[in-house]
Formats: sequence, structure tokens, C-alpha cells
Amino acid sequence: MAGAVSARDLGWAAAFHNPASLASLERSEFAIGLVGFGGRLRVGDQPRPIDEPMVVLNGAAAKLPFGSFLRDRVYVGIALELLPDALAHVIVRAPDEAMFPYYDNRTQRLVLLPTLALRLPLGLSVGVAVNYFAGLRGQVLASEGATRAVEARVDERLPAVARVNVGLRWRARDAKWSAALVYRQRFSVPVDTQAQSQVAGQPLDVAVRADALFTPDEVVLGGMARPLPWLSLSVDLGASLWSRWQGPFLRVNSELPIVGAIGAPPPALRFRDTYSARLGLEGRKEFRGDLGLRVRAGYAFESAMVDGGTNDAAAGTRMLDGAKHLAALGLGVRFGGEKMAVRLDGHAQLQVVQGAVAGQGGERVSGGGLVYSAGWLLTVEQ
Amino acid sequence: MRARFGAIALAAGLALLSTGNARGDAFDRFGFGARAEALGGAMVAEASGVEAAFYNPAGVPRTERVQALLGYGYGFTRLRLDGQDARVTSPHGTTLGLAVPIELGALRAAFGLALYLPDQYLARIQVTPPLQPHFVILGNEAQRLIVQPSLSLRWRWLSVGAGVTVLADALGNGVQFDVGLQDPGDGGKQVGRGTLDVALPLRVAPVVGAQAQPLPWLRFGVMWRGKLDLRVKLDVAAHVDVAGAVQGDALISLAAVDHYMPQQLTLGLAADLLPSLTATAQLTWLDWSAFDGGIPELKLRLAFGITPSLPTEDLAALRFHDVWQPRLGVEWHRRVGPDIGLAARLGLSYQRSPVPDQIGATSFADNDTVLVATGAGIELPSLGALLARPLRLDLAFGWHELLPRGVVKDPALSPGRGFTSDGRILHLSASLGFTF
Repeated sequence: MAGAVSARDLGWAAAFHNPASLASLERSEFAIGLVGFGGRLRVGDQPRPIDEPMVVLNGAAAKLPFGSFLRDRVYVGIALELLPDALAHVIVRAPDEAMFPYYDNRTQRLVLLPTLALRLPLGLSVGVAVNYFAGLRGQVLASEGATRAVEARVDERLPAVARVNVGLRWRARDAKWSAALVYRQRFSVPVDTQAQSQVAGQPLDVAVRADALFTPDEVVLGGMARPLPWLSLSVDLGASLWSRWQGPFLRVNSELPIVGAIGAPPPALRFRDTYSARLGLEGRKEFRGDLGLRVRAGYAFESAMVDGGTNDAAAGTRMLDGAKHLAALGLGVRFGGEKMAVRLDGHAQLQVVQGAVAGQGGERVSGGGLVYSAGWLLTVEQ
Repeated sequence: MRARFGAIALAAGLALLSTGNARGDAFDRFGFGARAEALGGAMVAEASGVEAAFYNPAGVPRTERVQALLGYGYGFTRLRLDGQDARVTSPHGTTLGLAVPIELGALRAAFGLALYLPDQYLARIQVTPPLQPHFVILGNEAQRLIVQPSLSLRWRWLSVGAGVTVLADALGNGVQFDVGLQDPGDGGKQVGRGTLDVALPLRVAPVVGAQAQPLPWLRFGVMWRGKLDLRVKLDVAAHVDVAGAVQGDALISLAAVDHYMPQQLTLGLAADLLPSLTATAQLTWLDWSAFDGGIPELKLRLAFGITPSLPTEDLAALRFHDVWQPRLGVEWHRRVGPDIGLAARLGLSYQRSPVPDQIGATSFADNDTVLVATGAGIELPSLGALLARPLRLDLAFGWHELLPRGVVKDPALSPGRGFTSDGRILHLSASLGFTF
């Protein structure tokens, strides 16, 4: 449904789309799935592949078995997105390298979202999910020891980084209408390391700092209507505050023998806030024998976040980004009855990135292309 | 009854004939849940349900219902070198556990998960010069995230399970940057560009276990855990070009190993000696002899037209000793009324150091340690109308006393001076267990 789901009933996936929607959970669920990505993005005539083209999805959600005034009020869930072989991969490119900052090294990490939702009176619910990961901070010190040999001291830490997704939802008593408001806090992985060495009286110091794997503050307003018993429509309008980002580049300060102190500050950059509109629909049909079928479709538009002309002229960067159009199709099958049910959902998405131009003079490049994804998800309800 | 006491006496005797020691994570040192800590960690045969998610995955399907555990532990570390505070960070963090059984006809399968989240960091990597006295095992062992998922099966009196302990390395192509000055005659325009490539690839160590309950009052357990460590590789390369002045490269390259946990094999038994008394004992072999001390490899290179003297350390690999670690635990439990249960616990362990005498250049500090633990628990059938599910609250206190150790250097091997090490760690924990 192209992400137009913030006002819909959601299970564990509410952790990202709208934590408040977890409060519509009817049965405990556990899910596992796989999503693959591919692309035909190009810079000039050169293809630009997608890093880490596969992720594993896991999720679980349940209603807590409270009684009294908390009966059917408290829900918990967890959503996990795992890379097949790593917790994270942080890549920071040189500023003059042509790149797509919207797609480049923004999702290559473990995503862990524990969620808590409360169902309130009058059809309201609220929820919060914690976006949890770690940064990398520390230092490497090397100097001559008692034997004049070079000794190393290392103290590198992965401090916890936590940000929140917060949601509010209202659902009509007959479940024909609902509305949602979601805020997702900006997230990044800070990398801050110093290497300080003293060799033969010469300093050899390097300090690097970057904000990697960045996601901006986002606000989403959503609605859902069920005009027919078998058909539901939903819309999400979103704003992403990219203008607060300082960019994907590395800050380096160094003290080197003979050379002295030299730094490589990152270029001062400006990005545009982006706006998106997402539309989704779902048709459902129930068959005899506890079999159900779901058909889904969606479309989304999002504006570009790179202020190419300004950045390229002032900072010599070559960042490419264009407006994006996204079309999605999905199919779901549900088996089972009162005691246990199994759902199998599949989806495919195609994202068209409109052409853009970056760079100045002889360094000018054009780029754009397609990004596509497909995946499946198996959910067990009990 | 005589058979019951004979069985536990045999196990205790076996345990006390040997000595044992240290390894590398918070659950091994302080326990997974307050009940386990109070029993001295002697859980390989005793653990069932959510507690088994760490101690022996084979015990997870011994529960018929979903169990969850939430705990918190805080340690007060007072370790000393030459009588001075060694400034070792006090460990504190949250423990989470989950056990989900699924009935499959005559079999019962189960999924288990054990998690430890340190308060300060997901992981901390520390490397200290090997010539400087420092606590090589206790210095940093509790400062890392622990994730251990497992799957297991139970058939009648026998259960088996397997899982993995997950950790990540810190590797990658490091930092590369070009800096320099252009147009020196014009005051010099500083230029620079840097790139970074750091990855945290996953590493896993297998965990395999079995439990048998041939008699209602007697349980045996065995568990093997593979070796795990955290590798660090950091390269920083600077390419300098100051027009008309200096051109060249500087390279700092470091490779090290931290959080080493040797492979280990544990055998244990637990017996309900009386209706209100359970005793448990186990013996663990830790393959520390496969560890060479983790001396870091550091390379520096300067190529600026100068050639400073760069002597490098040449330390022979240092082999640790294998150790045998005994643990004993006793639990007294009693029902008060129809539903409320009370328990009191005591645990003991003697942990021998795997670190050889430091007569040469290296100065790794580590001590034989005596652990005395105690604790109590209360079991409630529900929290009234608010939560109609069984609930258990456990508290524990562990005293880890490091026996004083003095190091005297061999003048033929090292010009350095000897040192002494001693101290203690006091650890408090509380945990809540839920059954759904």
C-alpha cells in the first residue's frame, strides 16, 4: 500500500508506521520475512548498485494479560530488521564523489523497535516505539613505552542511541473511519574516534567525526475509510525535515609530523525538507474453510531533498536526488480459525527516481533511475 | 533418600577436587536472573524454562507455559593494583529472557532468548599495553551486549537444545583522508577530503546442551559453548600534500582481540534431596590454553622524508592455563498457604585464574576468586485482579573476593618491577519472572 498505513490496524509493524495502531491487535502474533532490494540507479552512464540488498524482518506483538482497569488496554511488540551478516555497515564517501544521498548507506544497520501502546476511551490510542542502536566513540593512543617500543591503548565504546516514534490514533466505533498522527524522531549513528600517537617526538594525531545512517524528523498525518465491507482506502501525508541535516560527510582534524595541524572539515550543505503523499487500498474476500484473500495496491510521491545547485556551487559536491514516484502491489492469504491462523503476505514495489543534475563545469553529472523491492512475510496468530 | 545424598555428595566431591576460573561475559560472572546468581550459577542441570535460555537451552522446554524474565543487576567493583584503585568500571545492566514452548504431540519444542543490555554501552573495546599492569579478564568482561537465542526439544525425560551467542566485530577499511595546502604563495588554501568504512560483522558461537531427568528428583545436565571473541581492526591512513613543502603518507594500523570467551564444557546435576531442599553442583572446563593473551598488533608508518626510529614490541605469545571451575548451590523452598512460595538460596564457587605467573615482560593481573552468593525469592499466584498470572520476585547478593596475588619478575626476562593485585566485586540483582 506504498506506506499509506498509519491509520490502519497494524500488528508488530506498528512500531515504525504508527505505534498507536498496535492497540488494535486482536491476537498475539509472530512474524518472519525477507525483503530484497535492487536498483537501476545510474550516475552518467555508470550504474550505482544498492548496498546490502537483503534484510530479514522479524516481529512479535501481544496484549498484556492485565485485569481490572487495565484489561484489554496495554499492548507490547517488537520489530527487528536484520542484515544477514552484520549489525551495521557505515560508509562515508568523499564530498566530491557523485552519489545518491537518499539511498546511500542509510539503512545498513540492525533496526530494533520495542513498542508499547495503550488503548484509551473514546476510540483513542497512543503508542511509543524506541528506535535503539549504538554509536561508535573512543580513542586509540599510541606512544613509546618504557622499552621505547610503541604501545597502544584503545578505548572504543558503542554507546546506546535511542530515539522515539510516537503515535496517536482515533478509530470510530464501527471501525469504518480512523485517523492518525505520527512523529518519528531523527536518528543517526554518531562516529567519533581519535587516534593520537607520539613517535620519536613527532605527533601523529587524527580525529574523525560523522553522523552516519541518518533519518530525519518526520511527521505523518493519516486517514482510513472503509466505504464497503470488502474495501478500505487510506491516505498518508508526510513531511521529512531534511533541512536539519548537516550532510553525510566526514570531519577530519589532524596533527602530522612536519605538516602540523591540518583539518578536512565537511562542506557546509543545505538540504530541502521533503513532502510526501501516499494512497493505498485493500480489498478482502473471505472464503469457506477459514480461508481469506487480501489484494493491495498503492501509490506514493515524495519530493527531492537535495538542493543541488546551492551545494554544488558552494561546496563542490555532486549529490543527486530527484522526485520519487512509487507504485506497489501486494497479495495476502490467511488460513486458520479461532485457535490459530497463518498469514502469508507478498509485495512488490517500484520506485522511479526522476532525473537530476549535479556538479559544476566539467564535473557535472546526471543521474536517476529505478529502485525496486519485493518480499514476503509469514505471520502466525494465536 | 540415601541415594539422593550420595548423588549430591559425589558431585560436590568431584567439584571440590578441582579448581577453576574466569571467563568473559556478565551472565557467567554475575548470573542470568537473581535466582541463578544466588545459586552460584550452578544451573546447567537445574535451569528450566526462561532461566535455561542462557544456562542450558535443553532446559527451556521444561516449562509448559510462556515465561518471561526481567532483571537488573548492579556491581560495586573494588579492584586494586599495588594497593591502589585499578579504576575498573562497575558493571550494571538489564537482563531480559523469554521462553516459548510449543506442544508437538509427544514432543515439546521451545524457543528461548537471553539478553543482557549494559547501561553504559552495547560494547566497550579496551586494549591496554601488555607491559602495564592491568586486569586482563575482569577489566572489561561485563561491558558488552549478550544475545543468545536457542531452540530445543523435549521427549519424556530427555531434552536437547542448541543456540548461538551473538557478537559483532569492529572491522572495515578504516579512515582514509587527503589533506594539504594549495597555492602556498597565496597564503595557502587548506583542502581536505575524508572517507570512512566501518563494519560490525556478526560472529556467533554455538551452544549445545542436554538435560535428562531419569528420576523425578534427579536431573543431569551437560552443555558445550564454542569460543567467541571480538576482533578490532582499525586503519587510519593520511595522504598529505603540501605543495612545495612535504608530501607523503602516515598510517596507523591496529588489530586486537577483546572479550575473549574460551570454549567450555559443563557437567552438572541437581537433586531434590528433601521435598523442601534442592542441591545443585556443576563442573566447567574452560579452554583458556587456546588463548595467547590477546597482545595487540600496532603498526605505524611515516613516509614524509623523515625516518624516525620506531622500535616495535616483540612479545612472545603468552599461553593461559586451562581451568576447571566448580559451582555449588542449595535452595530451600516452602509453600506458605495454598499458593505463596518462599525460597532461600546459597551458592559457592572457587574460580582459579587461567593467567600464568607474569615473570616476563607482560603484566596481566588476574586472581583466584572465591564467590559466596545468597538470595531469596517469593512466588505469588497473581497480583489480585490486576494480573491473573503467576509472578516470582527474586533477590540476590554475590561477593566475589579476589585472593591476593603477588608478581615477582625474573630479572633475566624483564627489567620491569613486580606488582600485587587483589580486591572484590559486590553484586546485587533483582529479577521478576512472569508466567503466561
